[in-house]
Amino acid sequence: MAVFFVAPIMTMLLASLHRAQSGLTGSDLTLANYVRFLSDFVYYRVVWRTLQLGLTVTLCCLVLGFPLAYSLARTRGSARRGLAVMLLLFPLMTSVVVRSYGWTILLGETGLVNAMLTGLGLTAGPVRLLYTDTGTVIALVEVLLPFMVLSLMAVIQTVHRNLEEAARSLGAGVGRVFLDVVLPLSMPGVAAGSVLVFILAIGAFVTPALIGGARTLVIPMLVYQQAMVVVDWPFAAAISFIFLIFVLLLVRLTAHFLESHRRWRGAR
Amino acid sequence: MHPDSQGAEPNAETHRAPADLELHRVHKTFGRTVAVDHLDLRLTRGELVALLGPSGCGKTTTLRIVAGFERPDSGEVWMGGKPATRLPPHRRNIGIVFQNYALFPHMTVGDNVAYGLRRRRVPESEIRPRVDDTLAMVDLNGLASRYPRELSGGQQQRVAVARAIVIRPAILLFDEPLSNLDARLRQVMRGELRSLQRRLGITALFVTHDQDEALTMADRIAVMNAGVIEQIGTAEQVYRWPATRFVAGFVGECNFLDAIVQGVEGRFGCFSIGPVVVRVGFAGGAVASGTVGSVALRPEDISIVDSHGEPPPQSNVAEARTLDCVYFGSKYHYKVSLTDGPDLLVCRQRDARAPLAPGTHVRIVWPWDCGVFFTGKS
Repeated sequence: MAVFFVAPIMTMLLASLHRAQSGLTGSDLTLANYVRFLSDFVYYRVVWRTLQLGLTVTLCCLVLGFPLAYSLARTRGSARRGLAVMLLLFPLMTSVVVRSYGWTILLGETGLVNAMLTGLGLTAGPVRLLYTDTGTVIALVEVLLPFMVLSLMAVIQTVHRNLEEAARSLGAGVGRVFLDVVLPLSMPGVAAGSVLVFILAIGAFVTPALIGGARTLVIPMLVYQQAMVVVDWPFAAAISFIFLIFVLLLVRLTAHFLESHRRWRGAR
Repeated sequence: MHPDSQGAEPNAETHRAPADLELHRVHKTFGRTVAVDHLDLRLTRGELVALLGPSGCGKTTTLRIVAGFERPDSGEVWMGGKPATRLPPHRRNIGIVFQNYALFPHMTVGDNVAYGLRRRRVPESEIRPRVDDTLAMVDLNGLASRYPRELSGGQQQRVAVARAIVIRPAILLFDEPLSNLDARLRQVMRGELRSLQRRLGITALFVTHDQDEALTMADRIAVMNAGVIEQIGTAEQVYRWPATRFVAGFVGECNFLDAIVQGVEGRFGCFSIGPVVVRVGFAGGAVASGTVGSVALRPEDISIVDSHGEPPPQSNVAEARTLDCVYFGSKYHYKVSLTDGPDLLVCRQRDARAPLAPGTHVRIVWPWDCGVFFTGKS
């Protein structure tokens, strides 16, 4: 734990406190890298873009994932459900690089998505999807959906079928049952799944790099750019460290929310 | 005498009132299992009918079909004279009390009870007093702002009942509601539920595997087995004149004694049980001498008497030896063995007499009127 986790972070922290010119050694430590990141408007735009991407992806995963998770959770027969979960997890066993490359093919001008859209008459001609934000969102949603579905599925299974039946017997239609019973009692799963997908989305590098191209500059790509292209390791390290703190805070907040919700639910 | 207790046909002769709930040839299979087998059932206004049977007999499936959670493969459901087979649950005017209460944990008791009213768009001003009245009816005054998890099992059960009755449903459905309560509480709740149902006059269908519940609560009991109603009748009809061997064995304790038909004299049949020849009331019509079957006899109908002295008139007499005795507080269960014959269970209320030691030679008697004969091997 100490070797593989703490040591690299400490090294990164140390690196971030140096100047690029002095290399990674030297005793004059400075906070200049942090100041630079937090004060330049250019970087704020990158941060905003990253957060936007994360939120969009999370929302799409929620909207698409909930019905899927619900039907999976309510599948009768553990064998059938096991099979469905396996199908859901299969893509995760493929490298994200491979999947993202697959999406470059699907989203291209002559790719499957455009062929479907023009074929079904939904658009006049092929739509520009590759190297756009939309394309990045689509690909990221596909990559991260299993995480959301698994998280939601676990919590929906704790909502007893009887509760839905009770609501229906009292006059609630399908929509009302969802709003009054399923959704409120699934909030822990919604929160956990959303945070997980959000963190993975804002930390995604391969997919935005391949699909978004140079147009979508998100923080992970910025870090890569600074480290590999500009070769300003300390700056890259500083950005990484700020990013790390942000994610840790987010996780901490979520854990706090989940814990208080659990206490509120109490023993049934 | 065998008053008419019905088999699986709807009873029309005693109740002239229109049916509040009617199931006509309702059939439901799951894969290859037949859960409900062309079932007919008719409930009239205000009566409580118990669906009694062992696990897997189809009683819960029947209830769920009435509720609308399962669609029958064939057959019809009618409620209040209108077809309801294809109606979704939220459009049937029903109230259900589940075994595990199914209270909404994220809502207060008051909101739980008010839920049905809100879905029916009852004005808020009317909801509050109705909820409070109903909570008072089930002895839960002042608990409207608590959450279900803060209540005991019995209290949660009452909230579930309140939630179901506050909407004044046309039919009340109970799915083994008392199974999760301890024995003492169950007895108390039985009486309360029954008097509540009677007071409100709501037609009710009560699913249970507990025969005491069925016997004490229901106007009529429908005994189910393997998807079929084997007998439907009042508690007395079902208990004293079981229509089938299954009903005799399921409701209450019963002795089954292998017997061979000797002949039929008037309304009694003569049967030989081991070396003893007995007379049992028999309304089954002509049966060939030599037919094999069993005589079903309730333990409490058999008396252990003094070996000397005249046996009572119109009674069967047999000599036996006690094997053992089980003490139930208010009564004794004796296992006795007929001389050269089978064993049977005799139930005797506790009285001034001393309990009989095992191995005592006794004489047992029972009236000709008690007992039922069923053809076929037991």
